[in-house]
Amino acid sequence: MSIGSTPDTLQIQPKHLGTLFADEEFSTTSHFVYLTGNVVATNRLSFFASTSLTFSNAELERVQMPTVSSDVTSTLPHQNFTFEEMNTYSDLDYQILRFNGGFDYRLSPNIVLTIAGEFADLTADEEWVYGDESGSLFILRSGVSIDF
Amino acid sequence: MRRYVCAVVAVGLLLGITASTGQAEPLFNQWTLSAGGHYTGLNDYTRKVGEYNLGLEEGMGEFGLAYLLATDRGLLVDIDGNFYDRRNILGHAKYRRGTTMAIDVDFRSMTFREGQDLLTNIEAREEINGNPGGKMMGHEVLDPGADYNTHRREVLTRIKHAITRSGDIRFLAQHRSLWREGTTQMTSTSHCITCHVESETCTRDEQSHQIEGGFEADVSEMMTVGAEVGYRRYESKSNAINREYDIAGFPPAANPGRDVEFPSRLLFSDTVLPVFVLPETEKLSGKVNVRGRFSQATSLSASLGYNTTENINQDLTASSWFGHANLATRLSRKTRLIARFTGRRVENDDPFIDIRTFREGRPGPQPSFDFTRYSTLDRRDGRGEVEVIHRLSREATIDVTGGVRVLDWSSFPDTLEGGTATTVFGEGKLRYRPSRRFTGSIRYRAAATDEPFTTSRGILEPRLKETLVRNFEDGETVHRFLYYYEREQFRTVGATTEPTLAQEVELSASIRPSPRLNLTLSLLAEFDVNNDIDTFDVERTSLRPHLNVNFLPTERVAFSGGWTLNQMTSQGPIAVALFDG
Repeated sequence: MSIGSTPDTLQIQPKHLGTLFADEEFSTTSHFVYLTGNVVATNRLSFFASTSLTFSNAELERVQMPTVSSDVTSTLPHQNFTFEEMNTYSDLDYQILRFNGGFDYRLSPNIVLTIAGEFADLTADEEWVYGDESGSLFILRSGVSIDF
Repeated sequence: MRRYVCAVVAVGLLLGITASTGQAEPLFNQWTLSAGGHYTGLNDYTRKVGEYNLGLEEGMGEFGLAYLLATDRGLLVDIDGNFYDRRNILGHAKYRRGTTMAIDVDFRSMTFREGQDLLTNIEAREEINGNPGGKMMGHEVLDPGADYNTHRREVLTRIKHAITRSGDIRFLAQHRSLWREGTTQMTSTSHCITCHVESETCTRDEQSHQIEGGFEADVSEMMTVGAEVGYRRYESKSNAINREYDIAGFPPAANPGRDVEFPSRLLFSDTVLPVFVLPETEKLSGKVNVRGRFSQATSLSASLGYNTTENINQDLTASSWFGHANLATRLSRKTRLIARFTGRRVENDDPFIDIRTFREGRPGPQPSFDFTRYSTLDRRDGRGEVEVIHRLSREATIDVTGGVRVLDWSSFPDTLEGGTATTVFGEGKLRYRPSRRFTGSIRYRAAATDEPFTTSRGILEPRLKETLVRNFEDGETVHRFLYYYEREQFRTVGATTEPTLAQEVELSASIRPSPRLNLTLSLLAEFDVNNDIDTFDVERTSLRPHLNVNFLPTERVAFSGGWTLNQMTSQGPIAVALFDG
C-alpha cells in the first residue's frame, strides 16, 4: 500500500514546519511632572492649587524574523513572512492633565466656606483594546464646615 | 449593609458619649460638621480619566462629620466620616484608653468603572491567491453598550484589650468583610471552527468575611508570647453564564467526515456549558509567636504558622507552613547585626483529571490525555540573611547585607532537573551626612540565581524544524495526520522571565541650601538578565530618576514640584507557529 495511491481521510497533507521566533525589544517611557501651591492671602482667605501632567508611551520594535527557507515558502506560498505591522498593536501613547484649585474663606472663627474645582483630561494618540480613550471631566465643589 | 454602617456609626457615637461623660479633663473636644455638594461634567470617553468616578453627569450632596476628644488621662476618641456620593464613602472611628484598650473601625466604599475590550484585534482570515481561505478567527461582542462597574465595600474592625489590670495579658480580635458587586466583561473562546471569542456581561456579587482572635502575654519583663487563629470564607453569588458551543467542523465543508472527525478531537461540541463559575473557599489559619530581649543589646522575635484553604466546590485543598526568626544584637558601640530567617512550605492537592477519550471511535491514534494536575505553587522556600550596620564616623554609616534563598519545587515534575533555584544576594549601602544641609546615599544590590524556574516542556518548537509528514496505516486506509498534541511534543525551548543576575543601583541626595528651600534627587537603576536559556535572552533595564523641590518663599506661601521619569526596556521572544493543514 502506498500513500500516493490511497486518499487521505480528510484529503490533507499536513507538514510540521516548526516555529519562527526572534528576540525583540519592548520599551515604555513615562514622564510625570507635578506642582502644588498653597497661599495664605489673609487671616480669612487661603488658596490652594495643584496640577500634574503625565506623558506615557510604549512600543515594540519592528519584528525582524529570520529568513525562512524555500521549503517553507514553497509549502506556504500564499503567506507573508515580513510581519511589518505586528509591532504596531503594542503601541501606546497618551497624556493626562489634572488640575484642581480653590480657596477657603473663614466666615467666622468656627465656619469655613470652601469652593474648589477639578479638571482632568486624557488624550490617547493610539487606540488600544478599549478603543479611543480620550476624554475629560470637571468637578465643581462647594461647602461649609462648622466647628462646635 | 446599611444596618452595618449604622451600627458602626452608633458604636462610634457611643464611644464618644461614653468618653465625654468620663471624669477626665478634656484637652481637646470638638465636633466638625461639613455639608456641601459637587457637580460632575463629562466629555467623550471618561472610563479611563474618571475610572473611580460614578460616571454620571449630575449634582450630588456631600456630607462630613468629625469628632475629636483627647483627655489628660489618655483617653482618645477620633471619629471621621465623609459621604462624597452614594458609592464613595469613607468612615473611621478610633478609641484609645491609655495602653489598655484600642479599637479601630474603618469603612471604605468606592466604585470602579472599567472599559470594554472591543476584541477588534481578534479578526483575521487566511488569504489564498486573493481569495478568503478556511482558517479564520473572529469575535462577537454581545453587549456593546454595557456599563461595566464595580462597587467595593470594606469594613475592618480591630480590637486590642488588656484582660488583666496590670496589662500583661492582652486580647486581640479582628474582623474584615468585603463586598464586591456590579457587572464585568467575561470572554470565552469557542473551539477552533472559527476561533470564535464571545464577550458577555456578567453580574458580580462576591463577599468575603474574615475573623481572627488571639492573645499576647508578657511572661516576663523580657519575653512576650502570643497566638492567633483565623477563619475566612469567600463566596460568590454571581450568576454563571451559559455559553453555547457550536458544532465543531473543520472547513471547508467539502472535506468528508468533517462533522465527525473534528468533534472527536475536542472536549465538547454542540453543547451548552456554564462559564464564569467562581469557587466557594474557606481558609483556616493559626500562628504562634514569641519576642524577647536577652539583654539590653540583643532581641529575638520568631513565629510559626499554618493555614489551609479549601475549594469547597471541587473539594481541593492547599496548605502551607510558614515561619520566621529575627535576631538583632549590638556587636559594639558602633556596630549592629541583624539576622533574618524565613521559611515556607506550600502543598496543593494533585487531582487526577479524567477527560474524554481523544478521537474515540475514529481510525488512527487515540492517545489518552488523562493527567494528574500538579501545582507550580508547591514549593519549599527558605531564606536567610545577615545585615551589619556600622557607623564609620559621625557623618557616615555603612550597611552591608548578604544572604541566600533556596526555592525548591522538586515535587512539581515538569521542571528542569533539580527543581531548585539558589539565589545568593548581597547589598551594600553608604549613607553620608556631612552637615544638616546635605544627605546623600548610594546603594548597590546584586542577586545571582542558578536554575530559576523554567518549564522543561518548552513553549516553542525549534526554529524552522525539518518538514515532517506522519503516516498511519489502518487496514486499507493510510492517514496522514499531524495533531496539535504532536506539535507540542516537539517543543524543546524552555522559557522563563526570571533573571539569573539582577542588579540595582540607587543614588539619592537631599540638599537644603536654605531653611526655605529643599531639593531631593534620586536615581534607581535596575538591570536583569538571563543568558542561560538555550535559545533566546531575557533582559530588562529600568531607569527611574526623580527630582522634588519644596520652596517656602514666605511664611504664607508654599510650593512643591517635581518630575519623575520611568523608563523600562525589556527583551523577549516573539514567536509565530507555522501551520500547514
